[in-house]
Amino acid sequence: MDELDQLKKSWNLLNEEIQDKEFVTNEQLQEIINSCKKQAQRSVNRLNKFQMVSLGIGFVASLSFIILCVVLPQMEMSNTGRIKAIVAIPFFALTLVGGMYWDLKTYRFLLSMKVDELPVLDMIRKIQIFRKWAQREVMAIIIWIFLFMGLYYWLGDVYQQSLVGQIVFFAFSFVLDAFMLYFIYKKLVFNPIHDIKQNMDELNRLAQE
Amino acid sequence: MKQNEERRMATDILEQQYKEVIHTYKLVIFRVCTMYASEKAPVMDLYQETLINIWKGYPKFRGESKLSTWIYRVAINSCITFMRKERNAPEYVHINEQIENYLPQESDEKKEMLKQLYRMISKLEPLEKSIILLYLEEKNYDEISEIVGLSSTNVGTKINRIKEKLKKMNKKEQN
Repeated sequence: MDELDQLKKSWNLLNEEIQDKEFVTNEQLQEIINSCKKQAQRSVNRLNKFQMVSLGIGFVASLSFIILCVVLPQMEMSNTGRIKAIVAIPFFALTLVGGMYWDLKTYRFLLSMKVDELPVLDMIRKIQIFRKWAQREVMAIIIWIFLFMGLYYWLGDVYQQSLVGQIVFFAFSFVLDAFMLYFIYKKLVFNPIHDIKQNMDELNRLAQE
Repeated sequence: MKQNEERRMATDILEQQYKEVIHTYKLVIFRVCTMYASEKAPVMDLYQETLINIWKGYPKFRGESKLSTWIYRVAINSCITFMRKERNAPEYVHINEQIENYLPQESDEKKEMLKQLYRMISKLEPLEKSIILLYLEEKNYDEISEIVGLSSTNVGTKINRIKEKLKKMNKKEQN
């Protein structure tokens, strides 16, 4: 008897054992239905919040460019200060726009992961792509942290501090940036997007009704 | 007023149909979930995730494939995507408590047999699990192909490779 026959025998045994089991009652099914309906309403609210956040980020990015192009040339400041502003403002504006683009891309990708339509192979491929994205996301965040630290080292004249002061600066910045970019970003941006995707089907159904 | 009444009736019918579908396929869903269950993805959590996804997808089901084929697809995809949330899940999975509840209590031989089943299954990749699950469920190559998205020929090749893998695993275990 080969391994597959063994598996088959065990599988049949499992079938016999579960034949008379009641896994879920009608009441529990009704609870699931009701909870899905409630969740759908909550995701409408979340979607609205997401749109607000996107608009806010777009507004801040546009404002930064306006400051850079219109306000900055008219301000009275030293040459060094102007150079610093010219470097810093595009850096933050590009960060915002890049982050928003990445989020939208992720959001669209998650929308395409339809468990009721895709063959298993496609779903596995999508999950692998998603994992790679998640790894790239972490890499991008780490690179950004180093860029930001380097930029601040110059912007905040940290290089003029003592060696201990500089070490403290790097240690503190690293911990703070890691916390801000990873935990807050995950909590505020990524998780709501994921929840929205989870309930997108109900949203579509609500829209049809 | 009349429109609201009609909408409510349509929802009631849909809910009733959904409950009937779940009761008809409750064992199928459970078997799929046991295949993918782990410590981090308990079988009943997978079961519930699948029930939710069936509810979400059911209104869009247009009968282009057999209902059973669709149920297998949703159940397998639900289990796989549930695992997606558990990125740090261990590669080798142990039998979890909830599955043990369904193991026969009276016979050690039977219990050992089922433990062996889960031990072997747990070492397979997600795609291999889905193929072997459908094979054990006595689905023909065309049906497996439709659910999984591989060609029928590739399904046959995959099954042969899984057989080899299981043989090696068994040998390793005996050594």
